[in-house]
Amino acid sequence: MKYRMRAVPLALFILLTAGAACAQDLAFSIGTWSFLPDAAGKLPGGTPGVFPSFGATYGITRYLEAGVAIIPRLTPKPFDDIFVEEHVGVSLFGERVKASGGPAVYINTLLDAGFIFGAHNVISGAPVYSRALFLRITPITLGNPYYGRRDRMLSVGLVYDYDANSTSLFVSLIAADFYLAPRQKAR
Amino acid sequence: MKIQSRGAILLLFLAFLSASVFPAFAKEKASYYYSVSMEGFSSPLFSASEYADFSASIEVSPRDAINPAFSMHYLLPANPLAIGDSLAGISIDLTLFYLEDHPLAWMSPRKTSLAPQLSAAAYVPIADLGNLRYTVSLSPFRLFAGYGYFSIGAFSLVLDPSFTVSGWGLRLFDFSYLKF
Repeated sequence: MKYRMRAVPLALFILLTAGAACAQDLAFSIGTWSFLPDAAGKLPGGTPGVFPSFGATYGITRYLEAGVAIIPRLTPKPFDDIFVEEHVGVSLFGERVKASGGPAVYINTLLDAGFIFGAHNVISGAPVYSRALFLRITPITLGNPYYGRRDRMLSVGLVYDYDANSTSLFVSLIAADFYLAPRQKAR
Repeated sequence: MKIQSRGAILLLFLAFLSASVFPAFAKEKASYYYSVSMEGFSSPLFSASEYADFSASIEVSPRDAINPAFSMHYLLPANPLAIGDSLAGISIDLTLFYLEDHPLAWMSPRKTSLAPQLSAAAYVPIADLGNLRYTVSLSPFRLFAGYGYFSIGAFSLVLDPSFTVSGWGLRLFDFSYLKF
């Protein structure tokens, strides 16, 4: 069981690396990430605070994409908790890119599954670590690589920390993807 | 208490002064906008929560350099949710300039102007109206996009009632929508 759990992030990493090699729609991303307490009232970050998300997404196929992000604590103790996530996502209501190069579906829904690794007490003491799987749905995405920009809104996710055997929710109110090589700049 | 009251009265005076005097010099009439933002603090004067700030503003000299605005705020500890610890606030917000050719144009598919803002705000817990605290903040990455403003990464200093720095804060984002 333990080895299988270790294999999850490794498999994701290989998948993401392979995807990056052929991706035409590489984007970097900024967003928010709000951890909510589990049933016992415990937060994945231990205490409340503000966590932005800085990452990258890139296309694997017309429907599939992958991404990585770093999610550091900024308040009240900057960088005392640092999370790193990697995920694969599928666009549910249409292609994210058209093979023809034309505009794909502008409004879409995104389903992501991934792994999140946490380092805690990084600044304030002896670091401890956490590992978890997550599933996230983003009901509204606006834009795609064709437009050079995509906004992901009101994402809700479920995190399962398999070491602590606890489940909690997280919310990302908004995240923006800025594509490095836009095919078309909308004006 | 005396210093707190003086600070609040001064801020209110400046806010009303700017709201009443500046329109006389403005090229266009005042415009109104509402905003939502997410921020956090590292200060004993604010809890460690993620705060949602809802505000309504009047800007007295839209699109002019040195464009002052007067805002009212409702600051809600949103995560974890603590409605009882909400704060009310007022602020004077100064858009320093509007720069049409700017290095952040890539952030939006729309034509934007860089419009950094400097703000001074006074907050009071709704449950304890005598307990003032202040913030001075700078939003360097704030863009005007026609329909309103959006900003990421504002930094603020938290001041206690005697105007001594007692911490800092970060605003992750702010979206403002012009009403008219």
